[in-house]
Formats: sequence, C-alpha cells, structure tokens
Amino acid sequence: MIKRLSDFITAAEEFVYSHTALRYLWYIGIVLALLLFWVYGEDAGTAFVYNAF
Amino acid sequence: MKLLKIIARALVLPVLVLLTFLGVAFAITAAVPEYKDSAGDDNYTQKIRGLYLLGQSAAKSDNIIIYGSSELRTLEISTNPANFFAGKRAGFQVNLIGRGSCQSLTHAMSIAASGDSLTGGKVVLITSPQSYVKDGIAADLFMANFSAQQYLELMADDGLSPEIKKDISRRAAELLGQYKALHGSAGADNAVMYLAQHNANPGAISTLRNAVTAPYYSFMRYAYGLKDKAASGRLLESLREAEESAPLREIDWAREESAAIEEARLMTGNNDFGILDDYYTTYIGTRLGRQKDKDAGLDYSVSKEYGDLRILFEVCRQKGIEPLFVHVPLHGQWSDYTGFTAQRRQAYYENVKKIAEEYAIEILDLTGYEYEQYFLCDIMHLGWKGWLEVDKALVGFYNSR
Repeated sequence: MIKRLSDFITAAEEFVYSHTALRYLWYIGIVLALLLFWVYGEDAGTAFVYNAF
Repeated sequence: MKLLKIIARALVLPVLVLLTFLGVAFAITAAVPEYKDSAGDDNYTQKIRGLYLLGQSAAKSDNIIIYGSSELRTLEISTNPANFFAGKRAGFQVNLIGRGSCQSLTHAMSIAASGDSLTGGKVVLITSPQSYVKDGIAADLFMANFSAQQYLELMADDGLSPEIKKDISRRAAELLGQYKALHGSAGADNAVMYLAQHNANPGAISTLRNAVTAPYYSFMRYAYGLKDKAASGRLLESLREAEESAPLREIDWAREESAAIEEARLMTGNNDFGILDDYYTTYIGTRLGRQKDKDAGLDYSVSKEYGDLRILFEVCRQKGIEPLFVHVPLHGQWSDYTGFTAQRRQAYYENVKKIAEEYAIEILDLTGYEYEQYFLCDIMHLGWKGWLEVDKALVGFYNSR
C-alpha cells in the first residue's frame, strides 16, 4: 500500500517537473495556499514570522 | 536571442506570483460586504487592531467614532451610547473602538495609521485614570492591543512628522522589548520590534538591517491589509443591519436621568458604593475590609502615560482631527475608602487638563462628579449618570460639525 502510494507520488512528481507549465502551476499553487493560510488562519501571522528574525 | 529567452523564462514565475497576489487581493476586496452601522455597537477586535472598518465608518457622515477602553464594555447599562443612541435616535450612529487596556498610545497608533479617513473629522477620546501609574501602560497590556499593521501603515504616512513617528517608535520599541524580555518571542513579530528600534534610534547596523528587510515590511503591509479585509468581511457577514428608528427631535434629558437612576438603583442593591451588584460580589464583597487604605501609596502625579497622551493629541493635531476628550473622574467615595486621597486625585486631574489645554483640545470635564451617586457603575467605569453626561455632549458634538 505504502509502496504503491510512494510510486504514485514519485511518478506524479516526475510528470509535473517534466512539464514547465505544470511546474509553474505547482509553484503558484503553493504560493496561493500559503497566502490563503496567512489571510484566513487565526494565528497564521504568528506562525509565519514567529522565529523568522 | 538566446539571452532574451533566458530573461523571459526567468521573469515568468515572478510575474505569475505577482498576478496571483493581485488576484487574491482583488477577490478578497470584492467579497467584503457593504459596511453595516451595527458594527459600531460593539467593540470588535477587527476595529481595534485593523483599519478597514475604521475607514468605512469614518466615510459615513453620520458616524461618531468613540475611542475608549474597558468602559465601552458596559453594555448592560442603558445609557451607554451604543444603547442610548440605538436606531440613530439622535440622527447618528456611534462606533465604539477599544477595550480594556486600550490607552493613549494604542489610540494614537490607530488614528495615526488611519491615512486620510479621519482627517478633518471629529472623534471622541476616553482614557482611564488607572493607566496613569508611574510606568504607564504595562508591556503585556500594550501587546494585547498592538497592531503591526497599524504600526507599518503609520510609518509609511508622509503626512506625519518624523518627530511624532520617532516618539511613537520609541514607546513601541520600549514596550515590545519589555514584552519580549518577559515572554520571549511568542506573539510578537520581532521584525516589527527591530523596525521600531531602528526608527527610534537609528544606527549603522540597524540601518543596514532595515535596508535588507524593507521588502519584507512592504510585503507585510500588503498581507496585513488583506488579512484585515478578510476578517472585517467575515464580521460584516455575521452582523445584521442596524434597525433605524425615526430620529427624535428632542430628548427629554430629565426623564432619561430619572430612568437611569431607577435602573441604577435596581442594579446596585448589595452595597453602599453605588457599584454594580455583580462587580461588587466578584471583586470586593467579603474582601471589603482588606481594601481599606490599600491605595495609600498610590500616586498618578508622575506617569509615562502623560507622554503617551501628548503623542495622542499631537497625532490628532497633525491629522487635522478635532477630538472631544472625556476626562473621567475616579470614584470619590471608594477612593477615600482605599486611601487614594482627594489631593492626589486632583493632581492627576490637573495634569491631564493642562496637557489638553496645551493642545487646545475640547474637553468634557467630568471630574467634578466624583461623589455623584451612580455616575460610575463600579470603581472606575462610567455608569448610568456618567454616560448620560457623555450622551448629552455627543448630541452637541454631532450637531456642531
């Protein structure tokens, strides 16, 4: 089960990284997720900057 | 040609990220419901630490913004302005901003960060006597209401003088530093503390650090602004529209006072101080004997809060705001019992009055009502008759603009 899941993730990762457009979409997705977490998370601001400086 | 292709490919991702940020900002802004006057009836955190709701309220010509502290929470009293003027019975809506420990510096930062939204307007300011202890506001109480968004916004406001920004930064750096020493980094954005330290006392290293972190501060202004709008939007969605009643031409103040006294009598049956029953039971009650002369050493004649009050008045002056400052009395009978003498109380009253006169601030001086029964609802907060005096002043204040 775990082996199959691992193989699937690896294959998906290779597929995404072999296509420039998909790779960029993946990066944008991460940025969007972080931004929405910051905006809507209750103490997200603290979580982000807590030990950054 | 190959070089152009490399540059173009390098720019694609940053441009996409920028478009994502702009798209999110647009979507969140578009989703915020229209401002509702009922947001003014309670002291929501979004109004204390944010700026969006303040700007929306200030844009409405029939809103009176009241900056205060814990006395704003006395919503069980019918003469509290939020109750007394419900339904715009005198033609205006009050907007309560503040909660416990919101003192001069917190109000000053909110007003300083308001951009042009309050410029040329009027606000009501209420501060509490108990913050005039020697060291002024405590670091943890300041931190409970501190807004990094407001600090970053006021520092970016070219309309404020470098001197006032430095004064605010000096106090913010001092209190943020004290808070960090007490509690570590939890809850505080160290980058904002470093910025305040730099603005208060710039040095070579802090200037270098500030140059490196400048993009971070710019981004944080954008991010805090978005978060403020999203939180304000959620609040506005949860509120009902304020119900408006037909404005009354005249308020019968004598009748209102009789009703206030009757209400006070019913709510203060278990003590001789005219204090709310619940408050008396919780904080005094069987411990009354131990309170005798406990404040014999208390002194409000020297306090950092006076400096913060100057900052608040100076910010109002630079913003072109005409404030009405409510000078709240102490509870005379209670203060005599606890040993905070009339002479020392008078010294505090005079200090505040002198500062208000220095800045030509319109003052509603209630300090002569120390011994008026039911003027306060406990040992420090405005009560039935105290709020009624404020209500009378608000009507005059609104009609004079």
